[in-house]
Amino acid sequence: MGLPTRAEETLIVDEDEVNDIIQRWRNTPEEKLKPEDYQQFKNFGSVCLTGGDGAQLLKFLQDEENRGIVKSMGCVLMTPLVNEVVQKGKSLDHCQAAITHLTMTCSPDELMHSLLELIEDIDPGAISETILTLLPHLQTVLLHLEDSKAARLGSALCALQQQLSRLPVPYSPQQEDEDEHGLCRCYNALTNFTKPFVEEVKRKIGSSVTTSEDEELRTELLKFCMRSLREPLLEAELNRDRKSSLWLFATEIMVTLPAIQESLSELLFFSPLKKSPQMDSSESKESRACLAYLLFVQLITIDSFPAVFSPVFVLQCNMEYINQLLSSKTESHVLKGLALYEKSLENVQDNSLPVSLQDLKSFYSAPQNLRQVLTDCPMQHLRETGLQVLQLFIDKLNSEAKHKFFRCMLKTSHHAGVESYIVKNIRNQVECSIKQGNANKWFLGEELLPLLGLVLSLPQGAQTDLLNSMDKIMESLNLLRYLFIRDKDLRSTIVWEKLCRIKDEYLKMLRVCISISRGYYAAELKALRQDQKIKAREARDAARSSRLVKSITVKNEKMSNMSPEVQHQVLQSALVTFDLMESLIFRIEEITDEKQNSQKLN
Amino acid sequence: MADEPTREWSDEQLKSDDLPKKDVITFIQDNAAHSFLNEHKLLGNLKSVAKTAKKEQLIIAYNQLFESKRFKGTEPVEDVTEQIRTVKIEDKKELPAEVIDEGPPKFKKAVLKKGDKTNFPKKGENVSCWYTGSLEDGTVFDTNLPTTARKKKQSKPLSFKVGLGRVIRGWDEGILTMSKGETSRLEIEPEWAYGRKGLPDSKIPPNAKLFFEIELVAVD
Repeated sequence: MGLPTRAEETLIVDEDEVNDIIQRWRNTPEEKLKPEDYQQFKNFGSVCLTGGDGAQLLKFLQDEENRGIVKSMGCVLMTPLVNEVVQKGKSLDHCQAAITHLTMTCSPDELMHSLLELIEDIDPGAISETILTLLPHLQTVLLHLEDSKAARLGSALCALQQQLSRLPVPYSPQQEDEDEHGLCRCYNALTNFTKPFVEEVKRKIGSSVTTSEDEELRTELLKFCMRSLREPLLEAELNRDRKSSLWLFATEIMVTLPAIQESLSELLFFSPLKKSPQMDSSESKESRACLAYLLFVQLITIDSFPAVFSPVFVLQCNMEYINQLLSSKTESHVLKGLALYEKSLENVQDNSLPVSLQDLKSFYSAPQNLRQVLTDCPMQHLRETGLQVLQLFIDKLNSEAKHKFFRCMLKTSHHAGVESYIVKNIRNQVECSIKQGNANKWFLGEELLPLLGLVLSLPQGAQTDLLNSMDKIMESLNLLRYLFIRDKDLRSTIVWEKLCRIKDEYLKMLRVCISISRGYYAAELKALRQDQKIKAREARDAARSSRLVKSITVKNEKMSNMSPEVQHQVLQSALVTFDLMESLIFRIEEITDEKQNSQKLN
Repeated sequence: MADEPTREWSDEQLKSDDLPKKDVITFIQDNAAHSFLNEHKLLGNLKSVAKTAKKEQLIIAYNQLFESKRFKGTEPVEDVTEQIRTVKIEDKKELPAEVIDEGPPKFKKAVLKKGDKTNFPKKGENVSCWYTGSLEDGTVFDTNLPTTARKKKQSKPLSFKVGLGRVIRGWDEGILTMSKGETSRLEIEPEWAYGRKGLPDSKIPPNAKLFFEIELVAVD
């Protein structure tokens, strides 16, 4: 038969040859072993396993005479053994026992190396199974390491989390319970895995005998926590009424941080981002944003959080995180951002936030991001929540701040829906000021005029697209009507004369726009009807002569995608809208005249 | 228009070690135009400027101020508003102080252990303290005191910049009256604590009067 060639190495038939090789290995010191020896040993092992001979392999490993071999070369068997366990091969228990034996016998450094390689080369189809199999053994090896434990733990955690980030995060309670990809099981296993190291840090840090190795261990655990906050927790759907797997994982992270002497208040309020441990600044912000959400919204470990900070300060600090979350395009992020925004605002007194806050970049950006959610986000439930948060935010501003905010939104939102909402709020503020009887200068005095100037204006003049700006225009007309009904309370103020002038100019321009638009749409409607008549006649002719009718060109390009029936509807409703606007204008003029006449009579 | 400020110090006096940098900086900050301060890098917090500016620089600036006569109020208005506008949107954490006269202080203090009576914290300085907070009925709602003395060595007291509205007003005002090493009991009215809303997530009910025993461990 001859010696097995390279290609035939896997086909070992001759038992004597095997024994010879083994005998040779027993007598060879580690330094003299060659790469071919390692490869051959690995092959022996693999063959055993594929042949279902796990028991024999175990016996070999446990044999005292083979101790030297196992010590030098045992690590190469890690991969085949672990794969066998993961694939639920025939000799599961023997494999587990074999792995355990290896972790007790081989050099921790080499074991560490093999295990890290295993993690990095994980089969993407068996990520969670492999990790669950590895973790207890990885822990054993790490605890046996003499030096560089912290660095190796760091590498292991990083590699593990990187693999886990390939698994999809469940987004419904049902998905989480099913845990199809094993993500939840893995993260919980990870918590158990890190426990002894956390305990070690707890014992050592703060005592007089802290070494740099202890500090490094603390840092690696901190990095692990921060990474976990970003992935999977930022994506996860958490609910305090349902203490699911991921909820428990979140709690573990929140408890670990103070255990390793990382104060949550320091981390959230007082740590400049530059100091964050080797995470780029937007990743670090995401982690902290998640932390703020878990603490303030889900109330995890809130009872150990200092109850001495002022609500406005907490709001200020959270604004950074709110901004981070709201500028994301991921639903789970935006949801959390809105919840954090709402929660932070709730603790602040109504009408208390001063105008100076709006000079802070984060305070200026958050409502802008909110506005973007309102105008661009495709998910209705997010837009609805966003609107609630916007109103809550407005309610917390004091009068001067409200005034400035309204001006800002009217100038920057470029969206009729948002503008109309703001105008409605302005009307409410005027109403409030009148009812309260305090001549609030921002909504009843001179300062009202610049605001009204923004509301009652048509910046595109005669070119205004009335339909596009319909919401805003209708709301502004409502406001005008309200102001003129309540003229008693306004006449005495300096506002009145200027208000009348603004109204006159606005209504004049509006009338011009309406008549232009009406003319255009009426013409379109007429053309459409003509077109219909022609088509009907042509169809009749075509049916008579049974010829193929050529495709008809549509005159109106804008609505070319709609069917004629729908086009008709659109044009009709446009005309109705103009009628509505005009009737409102007419009503306002009516009121004005009534009041003027009653004034003359008095 | 205000009169031109007078030159207080001669060159010799300026060079002397008896004249601290902070005094010169204060004078220049109080009297020079904004653009002058900006050019000479003398804008900002007194301490920070004192750290970065050299005495020689200050002497030069002082002399240049009187030569160029670029005092406060000599700048055209447009420049000033432009500068204010550019300064406006910053990444600041502090709120400018709202000076509202509200009447008598809404807290009471009882000293339990005297401090050194010399090191009183100033607004904006960092303070560290151990504390226990309780409600009127005695319920402890918050504390940062660890359970054993050994753990106390391993934990850190709460640190923050006092007087900037970062904590409830009762704390801000109360701690400013304490000296290093002092332990006192502060009784804070709800208006200077969490007011009408309370802080339900931290077990503080609405309109709650709060009692804090605070040990001021460190000042700056």
